[in-house]
Amino acid sequence: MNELLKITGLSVRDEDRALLREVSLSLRENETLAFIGESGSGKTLTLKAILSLLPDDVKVTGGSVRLAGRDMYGLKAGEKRRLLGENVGFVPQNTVNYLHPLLRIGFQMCDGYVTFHGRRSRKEAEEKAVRLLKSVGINDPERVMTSYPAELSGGMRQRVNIAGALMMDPPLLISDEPTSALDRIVQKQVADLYLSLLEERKLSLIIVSHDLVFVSRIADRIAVFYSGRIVESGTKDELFTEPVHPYTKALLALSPSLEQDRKEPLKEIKGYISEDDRKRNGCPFASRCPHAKEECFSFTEEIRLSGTHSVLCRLGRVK
Amino acid sequence: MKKRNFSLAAGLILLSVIFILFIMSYVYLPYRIDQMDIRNRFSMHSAEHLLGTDHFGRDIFSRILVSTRSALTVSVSSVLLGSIGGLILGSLAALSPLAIELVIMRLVDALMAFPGILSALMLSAVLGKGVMNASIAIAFFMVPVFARLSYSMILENRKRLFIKAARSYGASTPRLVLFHMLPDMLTRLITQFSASVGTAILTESSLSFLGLGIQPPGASLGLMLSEAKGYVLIEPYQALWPGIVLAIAVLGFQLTGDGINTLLHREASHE
Repeated sequence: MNELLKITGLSVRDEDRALLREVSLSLRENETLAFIGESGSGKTLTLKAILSLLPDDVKVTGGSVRLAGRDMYGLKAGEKRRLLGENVGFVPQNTVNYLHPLLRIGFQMCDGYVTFHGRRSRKEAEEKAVRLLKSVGINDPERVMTSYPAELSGGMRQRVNIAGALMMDPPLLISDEPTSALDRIVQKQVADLYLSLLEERKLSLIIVSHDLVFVSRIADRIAVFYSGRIVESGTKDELFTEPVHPYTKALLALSPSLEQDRKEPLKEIKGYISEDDRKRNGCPFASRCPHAKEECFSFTEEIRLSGTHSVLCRLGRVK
Repeated sequence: MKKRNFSLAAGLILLSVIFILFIMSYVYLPYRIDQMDIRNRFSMHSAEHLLGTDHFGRDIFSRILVSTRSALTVSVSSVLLGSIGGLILGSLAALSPLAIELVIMRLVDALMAFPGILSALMLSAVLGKGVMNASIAIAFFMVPVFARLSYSMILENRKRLFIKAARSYGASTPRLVLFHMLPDMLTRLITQFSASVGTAILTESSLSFLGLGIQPPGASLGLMLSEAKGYVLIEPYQALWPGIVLAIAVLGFQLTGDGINTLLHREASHE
């Protein structure tokens, strides 16, 4: 299988802080990679670096992003746009702010298609949009095409966003917390939709989610982010059954279960991500880690446990 | 409970009066505007002359009817011209590099600081008398208001995520402004448009009053007031009726603008 996306040693910083440090990952065709980790750990920033949508005051200081075999940061703006447009579909987190409130869904879905292909006709684009809306489980696509976003429910809008991301038939779909703003039932529907889309279209998917149940259903591989670094990555089974990094363990232990005693308070990871953690060369989690030793604060190394499983912690060595 | 929108209702009623007069001037004109009835100079209201006659014995009602034509055409066309000019200038400033932006916006500021009527006077003095030139002169001082408005709205819109999204997939700048930003800007532009038409009518009348707009023997509200000013003490009606119609027109447009504004704001807050 070919590598669709390969990020090596990507570092990103703003004026005074390192936001991403040495992030490396790769994605093959028809594979799903999930990013998990708490807010501010760099998950969304990594997505934005792939999409070349980083804010103006944030700079890439090292590393490379190769998409479909081409180095993205070496390309001119127009070529980069074409490369991204042909290869990546982006489903944003927020369904409200990404849809223009005063334009009909049909116009919005087709606009990018018509603009991108230059001479392609609007009619062709509309036919395609209707087909896609149908395939994301909207029963009356013709009505939705002429509706404004305010006339649709949250779940419908998320479906529209997904259909919009598929307009260019990209091999890679990038999804930033696709289920976060929806209620439980719609969340499940959207998750099912993703599964069936992956099945039908042979898509690769990068997904950011806080919902571990969703992740366990959909992901092939998982990368755990903490303070701008990938602290552990591996296949779903490796991570869920034998996590090594203390942060991964703590994160997995947090999921509340039905068997839990109701009087018992919900679990938490003590402490918070401090600014020092970002600056230090050692393990970013050391200040909150129950297993931390002196050396953790100054030094850490990435240890490969198997072909797919690697961890940024000395505990990997012991194993 | 829905609150009543009084300014919109009042504005529309006043406007409908003006539009009825406007349409009537084409459909049913009692007298030609330059038709003199010398024996009946300064006559009061009568069945023959509904609002009386002026110092030449011309029918005031007919002259008012015809005046609404120039009042509406000059003001609407000049505001249309001014708003398009302002929109282009404003979006140019908002989307250009900083240096160009600063030059354009400081120019607009300078224009804005200039009293409108003064620049209109100056321009029509330079361009010459006449309806066409009056329109251009009024349009000229409408430009800064619309430039400012569209400039600020485009800056505001540019930050929105759906606009950024459209730019990311390669929508060109004109396309971005026309198809993606304009729908959002339109509501406030319409409000400003309606209020500006009121001002424009007033300015057109002022220019005509000063002898720079419509030329005699044509009819314009400003011109009628100007001709009537010599006889105000003997024959006040000659000045009264054009004055009332002028007030109705200006109030009508201003109130409508106001009403549309509240209406749209109310709708926006419902969402």
